[in-house]
Amino acid sequence: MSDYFHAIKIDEEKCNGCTHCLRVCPTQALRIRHGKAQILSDKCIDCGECMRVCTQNAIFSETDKLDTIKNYKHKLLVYSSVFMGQFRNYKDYGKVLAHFKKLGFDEIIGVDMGALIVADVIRSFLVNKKNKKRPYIATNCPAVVRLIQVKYPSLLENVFSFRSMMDVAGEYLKNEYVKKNGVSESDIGLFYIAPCPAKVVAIHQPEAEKTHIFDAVFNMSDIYNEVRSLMEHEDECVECEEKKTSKYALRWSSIGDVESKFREFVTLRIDGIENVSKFLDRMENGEIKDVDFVDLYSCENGCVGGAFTKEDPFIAEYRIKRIADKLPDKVDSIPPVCTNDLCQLRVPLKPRPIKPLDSNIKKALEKMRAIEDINARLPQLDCGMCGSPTCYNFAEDIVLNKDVTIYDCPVILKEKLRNLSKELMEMTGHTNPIEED
Amino acid sequence: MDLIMDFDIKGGDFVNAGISSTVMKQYLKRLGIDAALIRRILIAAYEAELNVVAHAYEGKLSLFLDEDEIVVTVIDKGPGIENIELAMQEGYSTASDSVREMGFGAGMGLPNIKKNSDKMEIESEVGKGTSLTLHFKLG
Repeated sequence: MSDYFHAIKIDEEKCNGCTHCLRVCPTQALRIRHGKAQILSDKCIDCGECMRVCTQNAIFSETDKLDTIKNYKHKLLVYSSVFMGQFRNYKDYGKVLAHFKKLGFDEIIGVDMGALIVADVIRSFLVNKKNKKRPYIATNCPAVVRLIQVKYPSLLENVFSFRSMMDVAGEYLKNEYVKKNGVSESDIGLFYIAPCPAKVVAIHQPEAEKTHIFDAVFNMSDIYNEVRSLMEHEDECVECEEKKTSKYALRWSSIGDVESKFREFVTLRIDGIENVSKFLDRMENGEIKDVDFVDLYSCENGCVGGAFTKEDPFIAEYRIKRIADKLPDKVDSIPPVCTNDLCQLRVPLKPRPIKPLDSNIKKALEKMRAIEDINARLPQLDCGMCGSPTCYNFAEDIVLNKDVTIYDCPVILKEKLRNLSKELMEMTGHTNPIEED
Repeated sequence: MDLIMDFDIKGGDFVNAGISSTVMKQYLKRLGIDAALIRRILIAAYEAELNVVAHAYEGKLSLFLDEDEIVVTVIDKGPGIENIELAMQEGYSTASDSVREMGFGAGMGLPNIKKNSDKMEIESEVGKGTSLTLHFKLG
């Protein structure tokens, strides 16, 4: 029914229909039908919240296998900066980076390079007083971008037309490699180590691009295991990689610290999908004033809280901050200019609004009233036992014929059974005595 | 024209201003009204509500709907507006300093409401109150 690609999948064998996932979904994209969870494709934004709470490991995310890189002559890697906070010996991060080469990659950069490049163009955009749709929203978290497309389409005009740090870093790495080595672009494989399923979708189905920037995407926990086993065999740091980045680029690209990167503006990092939704609600109501730029992250603590990360997000954040402490405020070499080719989204972001109740407003209103009437009969427990996330969603599902009846509500069913048994009792009590023995 | 919902507004209660926006938004979204139109309605309604909170004693915000248009009315009991033409000018404000300190009363309220609605009717009587009717065309 829908052409949307999703990284999040449900293993029906493992799913026991427990409803944990229903309750955390920010777009109400899950239903339990016939004892199994189902994803509504047009509503799912691949934020991964359901994956986190699944007690059966029945919700998983499809990523590419590391073997994929063998299909390409030149193998380039962009890693999420979050990776640097995953190891206890984080101070020797150079060693971690060196191990990427052992995995077969020819050239490697972190997303912080994207932060370094795109910061200037954002800065000059914000300086321009003519750009009035403030606060502007960054495109760094793909789950947030999709949340806006699905639930807050009117705010798309506030979303930057600049690419995410990840995409800028990828495009830059590829361009530089072609320039330096004079190789054909078709021989290059560009890969990403992702901290979350949202990035997986962003890579396989980019929202505002004409073609794919990356060729494949790996689950950070898979790569973590690979690198860890390499590290166990080796103490010496051979060909240790130096990090050529600035303090603020690293902090912004890993823990979303947009504030210290853009001190001259009013900027906010907002993290956690619930907080983000609340903020977007307020923005839509016109309540948010005097803020220039917001960087919104679906996961708590930003990307360090991604569902594919191994380390506790607070610990990872601490480590990354300590690595950043040792980095310079500014890099010696001037970062490349952020040309349109490098930094601009190719096509405008399109809304993905949820289907209206009816294309005819009169009929929509009728359906709305029917939904409200049913909803008024429901217990408002939002328990999920009927298989819909809230009583309201359940009423909606009934009116829109989504394979449910009102007796799927256990409270209504119990009431009905009680009344039935009362009637039965009454009937037996009033039977004709002549017919009895 | 059907009354969909209404809200009481209390003068001086800045904290609760905006709740009506959230409820109206949810309803209009569920109904399937175009997102850009919803946003215009919300911005206009929020500004109108704030006007009541900042200047009047009490008021009522109501949302109506029929096949061709959505109508929002905001009717208050308050001091009224002496010179509507002046009040419609950008930057003109009679808000007190304490209201301005809270970031309100920049004199953009009425102009902003007019800009976001398809048609705005305003009636006001000094010493009695003000009544705003905002029309938004559907389709």
